Amino acid sequence: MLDSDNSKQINVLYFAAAKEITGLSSEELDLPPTLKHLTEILTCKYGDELRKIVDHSLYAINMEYIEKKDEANTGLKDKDEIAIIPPVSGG
Amino acid sequence: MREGRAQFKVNMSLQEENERLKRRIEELERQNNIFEQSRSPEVVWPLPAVEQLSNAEIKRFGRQLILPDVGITGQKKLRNTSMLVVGAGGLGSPICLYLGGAGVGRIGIVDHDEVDISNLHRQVIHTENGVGVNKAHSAAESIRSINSHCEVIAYDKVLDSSNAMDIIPNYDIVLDATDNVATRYLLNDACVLAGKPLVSGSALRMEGQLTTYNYNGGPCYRCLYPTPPPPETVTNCADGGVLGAIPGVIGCLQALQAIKICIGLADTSFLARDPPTLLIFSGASSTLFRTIKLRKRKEDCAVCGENPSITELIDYVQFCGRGATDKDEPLKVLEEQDRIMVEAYQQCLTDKTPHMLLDVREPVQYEICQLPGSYHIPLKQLKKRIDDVKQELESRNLAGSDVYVICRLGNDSQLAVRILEENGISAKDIVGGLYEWANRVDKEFPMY
Repeated sequence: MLDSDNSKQINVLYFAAAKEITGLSSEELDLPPTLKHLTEILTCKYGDELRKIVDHSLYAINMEYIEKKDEANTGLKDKDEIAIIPPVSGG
Repeated sequence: MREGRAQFKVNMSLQEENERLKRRIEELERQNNIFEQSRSPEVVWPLPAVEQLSNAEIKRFGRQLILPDVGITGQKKLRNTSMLVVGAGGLGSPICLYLGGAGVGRIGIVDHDEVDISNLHRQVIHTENGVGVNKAHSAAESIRSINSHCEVIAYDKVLDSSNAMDIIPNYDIVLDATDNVATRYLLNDACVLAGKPLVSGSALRMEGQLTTYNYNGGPCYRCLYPTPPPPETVTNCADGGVLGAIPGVIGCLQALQAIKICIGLADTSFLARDPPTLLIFSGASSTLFRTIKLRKRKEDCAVCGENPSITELIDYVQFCGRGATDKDEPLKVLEEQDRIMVEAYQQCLTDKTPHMLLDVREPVQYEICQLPGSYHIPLKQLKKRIDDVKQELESRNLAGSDVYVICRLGNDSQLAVRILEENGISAKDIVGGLYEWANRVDKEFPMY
């Protein structure tokens, strides 16, 4: 049985280079309190390689762009969908 | 009798030679023709406006003229608008075809590169006959063959800080169909400085993105991506691969967006009253499209903000740490003694020098072709699989022998040699990889 805190989940969507590194297009994670916590969790899980990508990516919560500099103040809630969108430059 | 037969042989080979040269002349004439026609003799700036469409134009554009969204007003706007397409590749191909077909009055195309056979699976504006021809000229010729009313100007050069402000201010709408980070920042800054909307598309592997920058108070590229990604994290189409239909979809959407901006649809439709958006296209997923709502431009943006620090174009190659093309610069991380040329490796094979060949390409590439006897571990897995290398050396009775490392172009193999050396395995890099092997040793070896 999951306790009540662990039952709160977010869905993280990975695009482009973030998808290549994680090998996933999305995954469910336990709810962290803020976006900054999520960045730290992902760095622990996937290392510096992902960190380098995330530092130059966009974040969107529920399909709305979030300012990177506000990540410490951006709270997350149950069932939020967070997209990590690195720039794509090919053409 | 014997003399007669010899004479016959000579005649035959001369005839074949003659045929071959005739074909070559035809090919060169065709290329030259494309080039000549691409020189626009008299271009009047700005594009002279027409008051009325000709009967020929009304007939040609009938199917879109009867759309309430377009009508005669929209069609005249298209006719009186100039658009600049930067890049005549996978994105630029459908952009040019649809803008030219739709009746845009003047289209400028910038591309320094030449058509290569490996472009044709996605760069559908070019043809086999155009291989070796500059892409801007080749694309211009295709547009003219679809719509001779369209005035096309080909710029067969690299767009850079020295020429961007001579070209961009002359056009009404700019489309970013480039393949590299440096040109994307250059185009963004130039469009902000010149006050032009920038319809930007990108595509790689199975994914694409679409955004309109610097339009109706929306953000610019720098608002979203203030600093360029580290060069080693950027993948290009040559390394990462791309399915042709992916830039095809994004390029079509770019053409549509430019047309909407031109005829005013983007201002009045319900879409435009919503915030600016970033469209993400995931070609491999069942959810093909996602739309991210963006915010308005950033007040502290370095170029479009209230107090911009960038007021003229900068050195974008320096800013991005990488050149304005999608061609990789060859890496050089190893000393000479850690590398061997492909000819020397061939000699090792002839001499039966004890060694193990390690191929560090991705599995999908290894499946296409490989040298006999090679042992395969992708570079990404190498650090974790050092023991496998050691075991393989032992099982081949090669403990203590050199490992020769090969990849496609000779960059990853150098990184692999470093990893092996750090783990006490003596290794050498084969310079230039399978590409050079195919070029200089085995012409029959397939290259991709």
